[in-house]
Amino acid sequence: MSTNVSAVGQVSRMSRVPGRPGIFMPIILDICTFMAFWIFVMIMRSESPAMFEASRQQLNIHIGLAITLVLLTSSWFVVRALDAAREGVSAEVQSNLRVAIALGFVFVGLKILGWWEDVHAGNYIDKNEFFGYYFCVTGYHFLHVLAGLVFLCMCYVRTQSAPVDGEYVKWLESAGVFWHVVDMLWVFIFPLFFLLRVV
Amino acid sequence: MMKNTTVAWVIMMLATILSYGFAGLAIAARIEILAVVLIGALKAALIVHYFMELKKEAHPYNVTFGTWIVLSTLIIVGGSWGLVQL
Repeated sequence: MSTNVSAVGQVSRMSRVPGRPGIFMPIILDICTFMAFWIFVMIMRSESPAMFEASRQQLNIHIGLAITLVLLTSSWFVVRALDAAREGVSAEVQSNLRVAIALGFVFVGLKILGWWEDVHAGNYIDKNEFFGYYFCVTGYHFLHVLAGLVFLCMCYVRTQSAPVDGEYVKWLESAGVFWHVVDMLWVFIFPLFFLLRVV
Repeated sequence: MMKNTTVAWVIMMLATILSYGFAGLAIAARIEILAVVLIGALKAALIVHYFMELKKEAHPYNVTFGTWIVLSTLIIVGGSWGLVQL
């Protein structure tokens, strides 16, 4: 009997997955792609350390820092929106999502500014391997940010036309999971390209 | 009283500024690399546990993301340490 209770308890604990079913599989494949990027970057770094360090120093670290802080804060506002959705407070969901989306667009602006500075300094994608990987990895991540913004905007629009119910919470959880993964990826991209020096 | 998610956000903001500060310090390179990457791993773990809400449940996604964070950390630290001369 106690075994059954334990088993039921375990099933119950394992069944609670945030978001829509199936959201995690493409995300897991995606983060594995980024892990392959880490490996390629580290191989390139080991082959040409001087080039890597000289190129790294040309990036604007202040923009990298600002982007990280903006993205973390945007994620936090998505969490707040989800809390409000679970309480059924539609106005609070909207206000938190507005801030999260606005910060997402700040990220877009800062990233474009960073790229513009790089290109303006003559650091094109084909300048060397460092900038090749830098533009590929940050560009691929940028596409994820745009997709996440579309997802969040859809959740925001839906609050204006439909009630904040259990179905809505599931959709917002899915959008949130995707947005947090975008955030999680950036917390590795930031040190990889901006912070870690080669001595 | 602050929610756990708010505490996690504050820690991540401070950790980000700390890692930025480490990058400008004249300390041993291996210590700097370890500190910066571990701070990144800590932030990723906080995002998974508190923001994605994979902390409370024992489902396999929690393990998957945790493994991804550990492997990413090992790849970056291992790759960086191979280059550094003390």
